[in-house]
Amino acid sequence: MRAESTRIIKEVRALMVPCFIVTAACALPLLRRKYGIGSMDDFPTLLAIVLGIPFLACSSFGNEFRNKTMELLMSQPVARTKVWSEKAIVTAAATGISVVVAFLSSGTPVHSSRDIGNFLIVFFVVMNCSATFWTLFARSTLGGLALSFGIVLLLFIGVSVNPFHVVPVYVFNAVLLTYSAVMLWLGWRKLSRFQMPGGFAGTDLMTVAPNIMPAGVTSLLRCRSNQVVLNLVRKELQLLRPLWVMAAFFVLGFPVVTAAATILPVSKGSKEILETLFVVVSTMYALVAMLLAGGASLSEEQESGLLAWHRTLPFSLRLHWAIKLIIGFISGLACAVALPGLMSLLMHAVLGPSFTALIRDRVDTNPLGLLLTVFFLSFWCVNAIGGMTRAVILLAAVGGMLAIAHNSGQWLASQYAGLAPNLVTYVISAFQLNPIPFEEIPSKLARLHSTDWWVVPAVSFAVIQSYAMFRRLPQYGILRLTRRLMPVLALAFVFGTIVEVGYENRWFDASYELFKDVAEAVVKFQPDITKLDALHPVSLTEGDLAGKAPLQASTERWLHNATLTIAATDRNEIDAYVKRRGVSRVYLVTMRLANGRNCRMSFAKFEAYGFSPPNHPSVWIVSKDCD
Amino acid sequence: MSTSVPAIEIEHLQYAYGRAEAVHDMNLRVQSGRCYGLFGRNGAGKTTTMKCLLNLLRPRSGSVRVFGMDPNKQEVEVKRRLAYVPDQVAFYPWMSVRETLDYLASFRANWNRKTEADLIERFRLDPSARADSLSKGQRTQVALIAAVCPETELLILDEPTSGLDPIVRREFIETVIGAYQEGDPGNRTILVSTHLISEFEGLIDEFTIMDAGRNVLTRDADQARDRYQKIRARFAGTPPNLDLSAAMSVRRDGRELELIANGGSADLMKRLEQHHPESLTVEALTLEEIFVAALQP
Repeated sequence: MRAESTRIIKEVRALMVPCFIVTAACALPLLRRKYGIGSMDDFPTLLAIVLGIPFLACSSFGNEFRNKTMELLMSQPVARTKVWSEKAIVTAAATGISVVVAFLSSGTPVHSSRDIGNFLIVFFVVMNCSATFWTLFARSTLGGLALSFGIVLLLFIGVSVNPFHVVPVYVFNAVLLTYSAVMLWLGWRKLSRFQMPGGFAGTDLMTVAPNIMPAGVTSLLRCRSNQVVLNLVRKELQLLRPLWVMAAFFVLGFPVVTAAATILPVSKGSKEILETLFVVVSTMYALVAMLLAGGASLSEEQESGLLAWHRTLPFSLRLHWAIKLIIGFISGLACAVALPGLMSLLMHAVLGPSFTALIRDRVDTNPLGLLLTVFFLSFWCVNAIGGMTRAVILLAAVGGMLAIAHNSGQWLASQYAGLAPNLVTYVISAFQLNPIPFEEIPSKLARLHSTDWWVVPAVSFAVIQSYAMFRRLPQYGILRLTRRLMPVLALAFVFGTIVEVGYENRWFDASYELFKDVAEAVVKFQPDITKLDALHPVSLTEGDLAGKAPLQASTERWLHNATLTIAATDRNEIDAYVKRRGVSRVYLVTMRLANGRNCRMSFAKFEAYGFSPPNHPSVWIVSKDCD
Repeated sequence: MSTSVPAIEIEHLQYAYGRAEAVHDMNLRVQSGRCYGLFGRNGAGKTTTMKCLLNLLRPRSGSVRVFGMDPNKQEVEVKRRLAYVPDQVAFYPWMSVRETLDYLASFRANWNRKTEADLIERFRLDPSARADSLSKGQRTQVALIAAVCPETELLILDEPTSGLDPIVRREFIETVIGAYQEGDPGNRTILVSTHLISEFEGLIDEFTIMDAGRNVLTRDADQARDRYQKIRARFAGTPPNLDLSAAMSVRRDGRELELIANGGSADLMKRLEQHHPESLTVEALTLEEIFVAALQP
């Protein structure tokens, strides 16, 4: 095999998995057309295009930094131009596949497909040309991604907010293609002059950047020799530096984008773009903030080897894990929820109704569930696979797999939901259980249908599992990862099944079925109700009752060896609702089951009510309870 | 031999990374107050063994005890009594040397500030220097300070001198390690894994040589020197053909004959003397030579 082929295969192998995930997400609209799920506006597809493609573009050099192989690569007897061109070819192929699939799956009418095609081509060119420079500058995949995407976003805003109000597409194209050409040259120049000063713990820009914090804050964050817990907290806050930097950019950028989208006198087309940018910036910021809050600190310690060393220090690993999780959680909430909330209040105060309208029309105002899921899964992924970049890829895959597991559970349940009532009734009757607690379970589960609560058990388990992973030096591998992932997916599957079964049987009440069967049998037994009262009850066994009025098999099982006492109440004691139906007396039945459990019910008999057949009396169960 | 609880006790330890077995049926016993060497080629399983001791890895089978305690069950208590210097040292890049040491001191009940100041001066470290500006050797120096200052009962050193310049290396081995053990004679134990066996020659009391995850040889250093000996005989003519199967290795070089004996050197000497060599010398092998001899096929 030729040397070039070996190197290119290595590049392909590194990009294969992320490329597959991004392309699969880009292909979701195809599923919509065939199965009615997924659309171009779908979050995964949008995410795959605006973040997945830049991620692929930055991964080639980013992987070298992550694996600490940049020095090795640069020391090989191969011209840097050749290294650059080989990486560029593979990156272009990977991003190209995703772009083509995204375009083909968009399925939009001809006139708008031209717009989408134009956007995708320009985005493809810009990202491929600028990624090298920004990745080399930031010395990490995620840093490169943030800078590549951020600068393109600023260019969009810059071109949209212009004095001419109308911005033709060719102006956008010209600006972005010029930027691409400049970045292509700068990227090549950066690589040809690239220096590796060495270093050990995360050479990326965010970690080793000079400290620009005020002296007061630096002093507050400085470790003391007698404060273990506080030192761990300080360390966590320092490790979350990428989050703080991003939050600072958000604080500066949010008012600009918001003001541009609300009060600038621009054309309708430009306003649309600005409003979309506002949504993209706000959503992406919150998601990436939660992602970093969940994984940045742990991944930095993993990649630098500091985590292993920490494990040899005399303090509880549970404490370390808990501090990491809590500080990440609080920081994530502060940056991704509280900060946008505060900024929104501020902008509302300044801009008034136009800002309120923008929020109302374009922003999902209840993203907390999604953000929390991203946080906890990000933490789990970093524990499971090590390193932020790999965790981001895994997170995308795990998110998709959780959804598939949940939907599969729902599908399976919808096919076999009819079996559940029989099963529940069988269990109650076989063990002579109190059926009352079962009556509200289906309706309670049905309430969870069409909500995102299904993710809670899986994510909760993932958090607990993350501690088990945190305790040990990680060993990564597809088998280990699969073993860890299976219970999480199984929970999503099982919860999807249970909720769907509850939803499908939301009108089913096991206790009602049993009590109704007993009541109907009592009516068929024909006790003279006029002679019955509390002092003159009729006592009989399950055998007596079944002998005169056949019971359902499950009811017979439930009443096996039971004794029944039948009495009646006066009209004065029954409630107004039943009185209105012309009922003068109500049966009182007490059942003493073989296991000693006492169950009671009162019911009324409606003669020839509704469509009941003559020998099948209608009963109205007024009350029922069990010990 | 001391009857007290050994500082380290490993029995039938096994560990594998996936299907690759790293440590196989390893047994080790280190008495308190000893300096114990763990020698082996790259990938022999030394670091894996140390990581099992530190509860960084959970053994597949076998038991590990540190001061009679299970590191898995009494993790914090075990770690309170030991300090560790890993083979690859890393620190938080934003912290200075001073802050790094303060940070590490915060986990310890005891921290000898005098030793710390002395070592910073000896190693010529700048306390205000940021960790990311330190060289590999300087990082190792900071890690060594952080391991010595808590004055723990057990020091686990994994390739502690890699990256150190010869002066600092000698300073560390001869002065720092010596001073550490002399601080509480008989109670301070060192487990050191190193390739630079010759530099630790005078310090090692006992050692184990590992190869491919197995314990190849465990000896008291002095006993090993008595047992492993190099015999050189120079003859007037070609060396005679003798039955030297008792020797570990035989090398013929012109009129010279060089034997490595693993015990029974007196018997070999007697046989050689019968052929009236011009000169006949015997000398103890160094630990490094024993290591090479033990691992030679």
